[in-house]
Amino acid sequence: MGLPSTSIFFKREDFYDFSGSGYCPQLDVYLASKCLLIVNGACGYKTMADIFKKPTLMTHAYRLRLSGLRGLVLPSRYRLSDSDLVLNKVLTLDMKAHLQSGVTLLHPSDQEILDAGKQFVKIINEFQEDYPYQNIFSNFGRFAVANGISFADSWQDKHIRGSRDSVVIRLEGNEAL
Amino acid sequence: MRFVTLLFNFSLNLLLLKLSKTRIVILSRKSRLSQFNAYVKSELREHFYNLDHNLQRDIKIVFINPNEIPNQALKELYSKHAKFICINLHKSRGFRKLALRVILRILEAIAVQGGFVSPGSSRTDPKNWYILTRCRPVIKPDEVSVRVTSKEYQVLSEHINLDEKFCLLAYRKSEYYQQYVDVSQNRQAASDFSYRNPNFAAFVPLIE
Repeated sequence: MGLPSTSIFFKREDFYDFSGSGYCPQLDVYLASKCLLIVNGACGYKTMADIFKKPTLMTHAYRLRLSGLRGLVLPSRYRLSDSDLVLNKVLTLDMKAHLQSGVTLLHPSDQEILDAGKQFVKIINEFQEDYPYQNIFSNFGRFAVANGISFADSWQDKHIRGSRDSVVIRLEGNEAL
Repeated sequence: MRFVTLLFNFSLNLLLLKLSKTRIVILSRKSRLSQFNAYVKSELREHFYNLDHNLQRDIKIVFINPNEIPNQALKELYSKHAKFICINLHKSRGFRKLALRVILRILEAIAVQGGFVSPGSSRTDPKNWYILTRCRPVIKPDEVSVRVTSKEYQVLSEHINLDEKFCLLAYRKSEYYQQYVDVSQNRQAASDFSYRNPNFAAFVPLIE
C-alpha cells in the first residue's frame, strides 16, 4: 500500500515495489495471508502479520509493548545526553512528551538489519513450516523482557548488558539512568 | 463513594452481560490499522480461547467503531464472528454529531474490561500473552480471497507469482499518514513523529 508519488528507486528481478499502488485494503489482507514472512519497519502492518500468525522481523521498533505479537525484534535506541535510555525507561516512555525532553531516536544500522535478517531466516528454516511460528520466538534469544520480546542476537551482543533474570536491564553506556 | 460507584458499575455491567449475552466493545477513535487490528483480534482471540476451554458461555460481540474503518476488507472478514456498528463520527454534523459524542462518552465512562460495555484493549498485559500467542487465529488464510479482476491484483501478478513463496517488507512512511489518517484524532500520525520512519536504503543489504 502506498502512494503513487512515493515509489522507491531500487531495481532487482525478484523485488517488486508495491508501495506506489495506492490504497488497496483487500490486497493488503490477501498479501499478509499468503506471504511466507514479513519484515516490518515500525509500521502498523505488523498487526496484519499477527492476524495470520506469520513470522515477523520487527526492525526500527520504537515501542516495545507489542501486544502479544511475537517475532524477532531489532529496536531503535533512545538516547539522552549521549547515552542510551535503560530498557525499563523505554518501556514506560511517554511518546507524546518525549520530543520536548531531548530524547533522540537512533535507528539500527544496515549491518544490524542484515545480521538480524540472517538470524530470522535461520530460525524459520530450522522449523517445520506448520509449526506455530510466533511461539518459537518466545524461546529465542538469550534474553527477553517480561513481555516476551526476543531481540536479535547481534543487537543484544552490542547493546544489552544483563541477563534474562535481571530485574533492571541496562543498555550499553548508561550508568546514570 | 467512588468505590461504591465503581462497584455498582461493575455489578451492573456483569448483570447486563449475563442478561443480554452480548458484549459491546468500544474501538479506538484513531482509525489506525494497528489499533483496529490489535483491539478486534485480541478481543476475539480471547473470546474463542475461553469458548474452546469452557471458561465462558457463548456471547455476541459487538464492536463500536467511532470513526473511519481503516481496512474494510478486514472488517468484512471479522464480521463473520462479530457485529460492527460504525457510527462515523467524522462524517456526522450538527445535532447528530453532538448526540453521538455524548452517547460515546457515556459508554466509555461506564466501560469495564470484560463487562457488558468493555473498552477496546490490545491486551498489553503480559498475563494475556499466553492466550494471544497460543490460541487459534480468528481469520484463517484460506478464508481470504481477492478480486482477481482488480487493477492492483493484475499489476501485482504480472510482477510476482503469488502462488510461490514470497516475503513482504512493510515500513512506516509519512506520506501514508498524511493521506489516509486523520491527524486530529491521532497525533502520532503527524509529521512531528516522522523521526520514527526507517530509510528504505537501510533494508537494501537485507534484500540483496
